Amino acid sequence: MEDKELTEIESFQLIQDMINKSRSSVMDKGTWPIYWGCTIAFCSFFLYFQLLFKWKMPFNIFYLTYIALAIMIFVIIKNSKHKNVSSHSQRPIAYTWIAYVIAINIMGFDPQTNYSGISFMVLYGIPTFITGGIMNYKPLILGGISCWILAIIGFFCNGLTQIMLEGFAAIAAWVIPGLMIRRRYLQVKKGVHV
Amino acid sequence: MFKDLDPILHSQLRLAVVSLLISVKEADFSYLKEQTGATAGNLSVQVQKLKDAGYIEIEKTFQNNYPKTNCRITKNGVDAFEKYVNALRTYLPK
Repeated sequence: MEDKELTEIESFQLIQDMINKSRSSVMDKGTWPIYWGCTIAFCSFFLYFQLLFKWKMPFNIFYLTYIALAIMIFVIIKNSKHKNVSSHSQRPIAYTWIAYVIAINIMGFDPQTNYSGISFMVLYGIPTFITGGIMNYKPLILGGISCWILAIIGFFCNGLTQIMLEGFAAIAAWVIPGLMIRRRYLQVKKGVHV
Repeated sequence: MFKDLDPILHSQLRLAVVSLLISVKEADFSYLKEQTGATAGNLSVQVQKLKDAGYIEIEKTFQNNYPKTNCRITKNGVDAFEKYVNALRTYLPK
């Protein structure tokens, strides 16, 4: 690119192209919502069938989430070394999810309470809803609300069914919005105005 | 009636830099170079002109022992960009 004067039409075209480029650089690619949605959905459905068919397991299947978390932290640290652009929303979103991870782990290790799928679904909804608000992205907002609706449905179900509902909550809150974010990201990257 | 276009922004490379910075918090020099396809020398001159006009801020840091130059748009820069886009609209056929 040279330092030449532009016609008015060229100026508009250039602004549009550059805004599309910067948007696609900082846009969420949908990777982590899909990754976590699949992980939680898998763990929930596995636990449901494990309890239903009384399979013997040497460990709680949800411990897989710690491996998933370790992989995510490793990848984020690795990618941050090559990061050369940042958006305004990254920091508040990161803090929201850090708070969620801490809260859910404190709840998960509480020896005084029995496992409650309802509490977890309520918790899944909070960061999802807030992230949707920060990103101004309706599928995530609706995903958060879906978690709370499923938690209310859980009032009328037994503990085993609540575990299955958790799997559906993960799909509604993260897998579906994640796939939609991915699709939007690919469209912006191609230069399609969305 | 046609409005005057800001001469600082009405140049290909400077407009590209400001358009890139308008929707992000900050971006480093290598990102701007990569996205605009400009040479380092030319980009450096144009970035300095934008800084002198008060449209962008430049922060020099070190990352992994390598110098890193971060650029971010200022409030003046955002206002100038908005005025520029509004002025451009007057030139377009209705």
